[in-house]
Amino acid sequence: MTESLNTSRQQAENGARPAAAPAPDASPAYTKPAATRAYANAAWPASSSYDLAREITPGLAQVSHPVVKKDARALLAGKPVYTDDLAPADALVMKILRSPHAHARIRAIDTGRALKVPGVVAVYTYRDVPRTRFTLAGQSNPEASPYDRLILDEVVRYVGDEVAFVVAETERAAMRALRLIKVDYEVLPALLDFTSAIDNPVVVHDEEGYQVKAGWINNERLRNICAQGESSFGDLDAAFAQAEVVIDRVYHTKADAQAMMETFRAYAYPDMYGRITCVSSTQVPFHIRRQIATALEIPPSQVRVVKPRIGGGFGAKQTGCCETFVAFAAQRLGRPVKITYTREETMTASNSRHEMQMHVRLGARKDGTIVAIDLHTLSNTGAYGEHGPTTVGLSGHKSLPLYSRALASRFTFQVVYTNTMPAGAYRGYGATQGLFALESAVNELADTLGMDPCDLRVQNLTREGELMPQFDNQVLYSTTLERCLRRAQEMIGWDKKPLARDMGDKVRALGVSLAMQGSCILNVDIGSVDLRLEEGGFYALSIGATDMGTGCDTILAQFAAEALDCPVDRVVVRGVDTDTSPYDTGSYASSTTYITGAATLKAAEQLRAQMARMAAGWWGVDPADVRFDGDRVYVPAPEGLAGVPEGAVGNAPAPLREMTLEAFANKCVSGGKGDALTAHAAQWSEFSPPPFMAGIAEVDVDKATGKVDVVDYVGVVDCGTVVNTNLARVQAEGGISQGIGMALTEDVQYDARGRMRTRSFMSYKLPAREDVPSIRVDFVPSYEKTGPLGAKSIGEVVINTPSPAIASAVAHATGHYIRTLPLTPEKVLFGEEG
Amino acid sequence: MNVTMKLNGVAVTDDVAPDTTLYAFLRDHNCKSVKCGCETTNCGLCTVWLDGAPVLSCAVLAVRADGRSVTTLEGLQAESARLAQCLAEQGAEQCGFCSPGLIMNVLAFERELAGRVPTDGEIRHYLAGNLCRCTGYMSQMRAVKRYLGCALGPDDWQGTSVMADVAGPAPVAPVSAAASGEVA
Amino acid sequence: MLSMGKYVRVGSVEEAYELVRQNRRACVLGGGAWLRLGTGTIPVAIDLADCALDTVEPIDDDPVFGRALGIGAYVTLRQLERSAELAAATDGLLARAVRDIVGVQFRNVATVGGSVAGRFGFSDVCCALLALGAHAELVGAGRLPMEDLLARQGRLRDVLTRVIVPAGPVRASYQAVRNQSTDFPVASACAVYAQGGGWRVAVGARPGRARLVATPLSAEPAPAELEALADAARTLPFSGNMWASERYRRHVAGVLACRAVEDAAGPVRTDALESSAEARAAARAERGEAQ
Repeated sequence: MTESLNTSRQQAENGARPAAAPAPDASPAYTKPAATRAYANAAWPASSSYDLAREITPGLAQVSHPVVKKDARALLAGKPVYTDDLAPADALVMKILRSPHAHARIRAIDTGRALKVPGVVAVYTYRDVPRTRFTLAGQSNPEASPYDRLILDEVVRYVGDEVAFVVAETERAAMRALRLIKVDYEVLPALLDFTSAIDNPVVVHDEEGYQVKAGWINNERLRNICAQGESSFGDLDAAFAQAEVVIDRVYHTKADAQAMMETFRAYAYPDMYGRITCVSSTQVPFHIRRQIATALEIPPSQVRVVKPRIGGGFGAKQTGCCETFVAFAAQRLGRPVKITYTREETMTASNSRHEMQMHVRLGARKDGTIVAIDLHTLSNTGAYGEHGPTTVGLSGHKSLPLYSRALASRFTFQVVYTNTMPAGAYRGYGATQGLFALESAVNELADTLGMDPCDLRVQNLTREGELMPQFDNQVLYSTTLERCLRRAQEMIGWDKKPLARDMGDKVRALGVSLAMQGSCILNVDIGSVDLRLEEGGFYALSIGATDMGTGCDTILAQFAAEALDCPVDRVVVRGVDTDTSPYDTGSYASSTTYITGAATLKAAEQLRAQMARMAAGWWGVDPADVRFDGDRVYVPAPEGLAGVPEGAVGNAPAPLREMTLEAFANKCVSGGKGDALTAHAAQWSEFSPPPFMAGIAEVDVDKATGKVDVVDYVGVVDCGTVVNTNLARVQAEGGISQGIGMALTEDVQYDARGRMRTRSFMSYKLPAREDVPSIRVDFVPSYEKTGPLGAKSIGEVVINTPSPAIASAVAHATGHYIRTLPLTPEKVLFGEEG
Repeated sequence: MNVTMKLNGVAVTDDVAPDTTLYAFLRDHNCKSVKCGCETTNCGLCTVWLDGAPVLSCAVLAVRADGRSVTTLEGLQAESARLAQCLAEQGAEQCGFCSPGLIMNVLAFERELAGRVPTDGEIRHYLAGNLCRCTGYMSQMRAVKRYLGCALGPDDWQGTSVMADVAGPAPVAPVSAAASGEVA
Repeated sequence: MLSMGKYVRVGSVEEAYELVRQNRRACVLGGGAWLRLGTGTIPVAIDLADCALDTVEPIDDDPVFGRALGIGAYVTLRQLERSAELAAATDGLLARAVRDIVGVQFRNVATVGGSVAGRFGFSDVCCALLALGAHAELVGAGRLPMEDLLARQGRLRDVLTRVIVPAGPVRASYQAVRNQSTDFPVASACAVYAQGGGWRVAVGARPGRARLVATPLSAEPAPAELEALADAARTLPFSGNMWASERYRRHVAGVLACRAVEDAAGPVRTDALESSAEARAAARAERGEAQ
């Protein structure tokens, strides 16, 4: 307490922040308000999670350090460790014929000529596949997403939907055969505009066999509604009545592509037991196992899924893609079958972010206090419902809680079907879209009131210990978001710069955004691990969590090493094979560190206890007297038990009993008796503690061309304890880069017939090196008491700040508020209405 | 058509259809480090050296490499070790799919520099054709700067100097994973 | 996916020309960089790799230019970028025009012949060569100024062997706007001033092929002349596509044409990526102009 009072007194003595100099001849409509001094005079909040972090984490030996990834050597040497590298040389190749129509029924399909192509082994159509519908969503059972898919369907629902499979000895033969399949389509009217989907005469899913397992999604598919709902808190009308300013705006985000470098690919083969093994670049092996079993109408015991190294996912691979296809063909043909999606297929025939239109009403008093928030989200799930019911919730539940001190809030949502490419999971999972809307509205509020956008936020932020009604009524246990924001301001030099500054040809401007996310899906996600002490004195950590390049294999080893007092390289990590790995829902929802990390710690503690019991048995002592310092198991001398520091050398008396870890481990499995000690632990959580981030963009806008260059981007993260300081930084930098793409360069476009125009990296532009010249990241750790060693998560929150921050900077530069992403030079130059 | 090239120092001859890309040829001849990320020459993952110059192997016909020398990462294991170390110390390889192409291009850049230390802008420009979706390019920049002898700024993240993985060669998956029933 | 019928590595450009005349769908390979983008099969693919077209040669007695440089059709864009002779002849223009094209590995494959024969609207190479007043040499059509080559409709059923560029000296600048740093330009302009030859200003990415803008300009153009230039640039035909609308292109073409001329007229080149608004401002300050 004293420390925090001293801090605020110090700040007051150092003088409040200087008011910013007025911008010389600022660009068209915007003038920068004088900086307020509110924060300098306020008492600095005693952030107990912040203090806790500074107390505990310096003592950690493995966690909270930079550690090289375990697979670094293999990846950097170019070793063949990815799916396509492992596919059998004699695997048959599958190619897919896709619908050219957005909505059609297959009247007839003639595969005769295709089958005659030399090298073609089989051609499959909707008549050949099982009739049980399933969902491709990688979610816990029972899935929230409707079961609206077949492996191949008589009705095709978007341009790119699968029509037929060709399986051949070579890719060349398969491609030839594809061109020879004759399809007679009954072209149906297509529903392409998601804003007119509800009660549209065109119904996307009217088929038999459509199933909804989760009643709470309020599916009304005959109205094209996949899901809908509402969550309200407080008396909204009364709260708006107190508002002196209301920001009432509509924002629109697009169906951005995850664009991981490794496209979708999988291969499947029947094994020696007649079971189907599928090796896939997937984030959700256990869910894929269930999908394949359901789709093929075989028991899950007949399916095994293996995940090798993956070339990125970002959520794209949290949805099944081609696994059921190759599994089906392998089962029918009794031979290995593989498929590698092209980039074009990955862009046009897989899954993307949900396009969302968000109507925000933000009510505030003239002093900047936010009193009421009303958010309505309309989400486009495309032709199939994967992740539709679940992503939409985050647009409100992972945005509104930032400002939980509002008197009332309401979040309503509808998810609709259209005849466009299905949406799925993409980093942020709805929060990204919702935060674009809400943080943009908050920025517009600040501009309208003439308030500094950072100070306005600090005034309204949810504080530690407060309740978040829109986030499952959780209490916010840990946050350093205010400190993150102030640190971001410090890094960018906020106090020394006006919000917009004329530089001649260009205007240089600043914009800020906050972000939050969750850590796991509370009461749903499960992660478990097996931890074994091996002969020779090392540990084998078996996990079901899927490293898609993020380095979670390494992170989990760090947790184990911390608890076992050893270096990280003494822990060997293996995963994932559904036959042998412990169960894990998969790498999504920012759950791996928080959930599987906790399971790892628990398992390590259990293993220590087992070791103590084993040694106690050999030595005839009480297990409570056995110590383990990571390298040796020992019983200290009685004096040692009393007062001398344990492990002290020099004058300390010798231990009564002692064995090196190696000798101990060897003894466990020698002499014709014993066992390699094995611990198993699982974790789930009734909490989902939000990580936070503050992002500030500094951009140059060319006055005559509208081109926006990101000059500098600063991001400061509160992910609780930072487990691996190398990898967390890279996560943040990578997420910010993706966010910059979403804000400026990535523009999904369709033509009037529903065919995607942006079908390649030639037209869908990811940020390249020169688009992100400077990203600077810092951390202000809190300590989350429900998390493993205080950790929360970082995987998704990092993509959420750039779009609102850059949009606000552009608004400061030009006076144009652009509410539909991306901010193309054209929109920046002419405005959206112009 | 018959094609003969020096592949990582070893003469390789094969009969290929003329529309075979160098990328396909290389992967068929066990150079699995060469990756493909697009069909439109935009990503840079497939970068190899043709007579020492970095090219997109997806955009070169195998028949055009006839009589010439081709280098992939498989042939630069020793030469790339220090760069790999720099990247690993920054955590700059995430999924690793863009890493081989990036390494090939950085080493080509180094040869062109012939000892000169480049500016940040020059590095960014030379590597502009190597896309990465995971890292946001910053950690790669720090690693490459350290590798090429450029000074890192005082605020630049220094990474780690501790290689935490087990010493020794990385495991290589068996050629027919199906046959062995086991996957790496 | 790439599919070829016959592949022929010819011994001479005349042989290639014969093949082209015989078969309507025969295709002369450039670098081959974008072969995979095509659909369908190329029935006859003609490779000129054995025809010694991959060098930049000085020409001392060119019938049109006197002193010139001959760029073989198989010279890569990277060679173009690094050629000291071309840098001297074009004020570094060609290097700056190609530096944002995809990446170094792409430019080591893509050729000048492919870019020029392709005559794409977004081609930075064509826009720059047009402004330089370069000539193309083809086996059948002979020597053509770039503007004539670009104006030809339909497929070029001919074989491009060389591009001839005057040896300068010139002052030149290339300006482009891209939605993303390695993307096609959505608008481009190139200005070249040759002592005694006056200004040539070209506008590209309309999205149609580059065209010259005909406006009188003095050696150090006054603001009124620049305004007239912008207006003239904006009278060219423009249209919209996925990358940008007609309205945007028309407006920005005028902006870039002026910037290209201002840059070329000034002492400091600010069109390279490393320079920024600061460099442009510094250049203005040097000229004593207001910010």
